[in-house]
Amino acid sequence: MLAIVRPDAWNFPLFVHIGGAMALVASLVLALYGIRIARTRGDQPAAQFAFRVLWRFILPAFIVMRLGGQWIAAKEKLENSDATWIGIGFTVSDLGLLLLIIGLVLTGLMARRAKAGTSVAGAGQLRAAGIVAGILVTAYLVAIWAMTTKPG
Amino acid sequence: MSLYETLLFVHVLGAFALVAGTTAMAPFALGWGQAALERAGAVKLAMTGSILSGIGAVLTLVLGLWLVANVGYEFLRLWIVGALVFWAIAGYSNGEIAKAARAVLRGEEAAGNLRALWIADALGATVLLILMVWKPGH
Repeated sequence: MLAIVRPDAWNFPLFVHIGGAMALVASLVLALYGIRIARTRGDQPAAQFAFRVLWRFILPAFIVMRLGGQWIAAKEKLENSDATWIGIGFTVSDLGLLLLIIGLVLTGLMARRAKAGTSVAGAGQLRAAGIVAGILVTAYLVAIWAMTTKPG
Repeated sequence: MSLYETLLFVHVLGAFALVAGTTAMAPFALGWGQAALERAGAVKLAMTGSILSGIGAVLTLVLGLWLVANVGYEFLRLWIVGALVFWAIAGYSNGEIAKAARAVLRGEEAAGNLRALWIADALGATVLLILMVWKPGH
């Protein structure tokens, strides 16, 4: 039904938005594993890997998802909409960025500490980063639900 | 939630699981982060990825076909037939990488060009998304 009513000009921004969101959730799964390995082993390569997944994959994927979202919202003239699903999308996105920055700082500090030769095995910061990544996955699942069912 | 909305949500969720599973296989198939994960870690992650993408593949296919019937689309359309072809390519590649990971777990050598398989898998998933968004031949 959507294909019938959606103008062609909306397709590319929608593709960018969904593609970015898929890369974002997929990288988060990788990050969860990387953080777990870093917390178990505590050495420099493991801590560096966890940080790099967040820095090189999750952050760029977030930017692509967010820009795509803004673009498609502008095309659909939904930027100032007070529809529930749009609100959920923007809230998850904005809070998600905050959590992502917290995760980046925590894993970055641990990568630096591990580089200096100190083991980060069992570090509370990595545990916190893992919890942050878990919350992000859950929040994005809620966003996927909102984007597909469009409540309100 | 209507039946259509439920089907669409689970179908899209399946697509996200498929892509997440494929990404989880990347360190094993492409040899990324070997120093960090070590071979055993990459294999374990690839096995988790194969489960994720397996669940995703089933959800996208079953719910996708159900959606086609629910909305009343015709099955013999370019975007639907194309999606089935690329789903099969991605599924085959995923299965081969999972098979190689299982072989490594048993202490055997991984057979096949894992890099090429992973690229085919990722390209298949990307083309699937393009077909779902643009719906050519609708």
